[in-house]
Amino acid sequence: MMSIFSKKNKKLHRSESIVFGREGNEIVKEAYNRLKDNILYFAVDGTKKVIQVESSTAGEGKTTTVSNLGVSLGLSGKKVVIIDLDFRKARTHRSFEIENVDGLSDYMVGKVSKDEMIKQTKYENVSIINRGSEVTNASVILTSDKLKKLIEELKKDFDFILLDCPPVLLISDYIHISSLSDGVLFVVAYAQTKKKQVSEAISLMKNNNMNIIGAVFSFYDYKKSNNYNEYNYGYYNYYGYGDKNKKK
Amino acid sequence: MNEETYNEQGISLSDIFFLVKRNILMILIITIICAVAGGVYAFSIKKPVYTAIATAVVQAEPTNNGSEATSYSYSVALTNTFKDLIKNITVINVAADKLIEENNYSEEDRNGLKSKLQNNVSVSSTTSTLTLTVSANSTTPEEAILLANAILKATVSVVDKYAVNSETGEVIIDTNGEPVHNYIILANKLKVFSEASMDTTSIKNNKLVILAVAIVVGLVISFGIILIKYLSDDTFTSKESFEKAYNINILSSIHEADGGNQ
Repeated sequence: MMSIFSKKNKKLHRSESIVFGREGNEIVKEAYNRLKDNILYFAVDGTKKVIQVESSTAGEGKTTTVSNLGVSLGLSGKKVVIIDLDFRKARTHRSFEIENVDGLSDYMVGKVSKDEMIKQTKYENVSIINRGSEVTNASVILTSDKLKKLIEELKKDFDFILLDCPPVLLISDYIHISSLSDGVLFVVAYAQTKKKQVSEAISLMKNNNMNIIGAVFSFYDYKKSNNYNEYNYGYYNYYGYGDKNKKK
Repeated sequence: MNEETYNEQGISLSDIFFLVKRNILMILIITIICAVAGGVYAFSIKKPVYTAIATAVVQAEPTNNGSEATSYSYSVALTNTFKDLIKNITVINVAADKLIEENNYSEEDRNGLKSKLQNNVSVSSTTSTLTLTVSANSTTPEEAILLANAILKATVSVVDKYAVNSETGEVIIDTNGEPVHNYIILANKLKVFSEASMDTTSIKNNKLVILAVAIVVGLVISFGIILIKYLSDDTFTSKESFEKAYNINILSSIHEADGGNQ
């Protein structure tokens, strides 16, 4: 069994990290839909559109989460744009099988227009802004008025803007990005991220008055968990979804 | 509760039940291994222990000019004196001599016999009676009986021994023409009441106790491992503990999923 999050699964094609649009993984899809419903509830008044997706350290599943959340929102009829703001380790374009060219960094230096930068993915209502060319000083871009203006313009065109960000404990970009976002979705690798790391990351974000709207457990394993989700797993098995996954 | 206090939470009853459920296979395996090891030891390796009992009576006479309390103290002191003497090295040597002379033991067995008499024999008494109970343990009932009887008879023979003239080697005779005892206040005060025999020998059947102890040890080891694992786990494995620690809701738990083709 290969996990879409698994570190042992680096060779797995990135497009496979998006569970929507292919058979199986009903439990995973339902988990993303639950996350989508919570985000819709958070943004019910229509004023909160920019969601910053953070984690304590690298490899906790931010890009996978943001990609699947974007597709789930798109399937619900919401127009979504996903922006890759991890300038050091850009990955989002791989999830959507898009080349990392003509991206945000190129737009910021005037190489490409806004329309050229925003790329429609094969998923309905889901667009992506990839990083583009490599950037030496990300904070210059993140604090620029041009980026703020771009976000304001995107708010008019899209229902949700999802920001795929670098890890809080490794890079301080989260401070600059928080001035652009309405709330933070915090990804925690279940049974992997140390409590101390989680605690430190949350403290840093709270110290910067960031609005943490909720958290997501990635790499979730119901066998290790002592909570109600075990019931959910049984529920899905009861309805045959679990068996489908096994057959895969 | 805030993020600074996440590590102050204890382990709840539901956590314990969950941990047991999650580790039930490990618990069963370790417990079964310990039970099998305990069973093999109890039923195959460990030899049964037989205990033979011999009884002696202390013939303490009331003092003529003393009070009842003095008589009582005297009899208790006499009983305790015999109790101490039974395990004395002099008595043990005499008992070993008797066993070699009268039974199928050789000189080579002397040290082993002395060791058994020293370690496998115990003496007990109560303050309200004038009896001494000698118990001897052995892996065979016959040997247990021999050890109990030999040490008791050796004690009687030592305390009843006559005084001997060191120059002539003859027994010393008093003015009345009676032989003089070596230990005047002890002589003829200890009498064998009942010798150890098959009727007074019991077998210590503790196989089931060993098996039960092995099972308990297995459970303790299993729970110890689980507890160490639990306490050394510095990650979040429950939605509730995360939410309590930071007051942040878990909006979804993304299950592990299969890879696969689109």
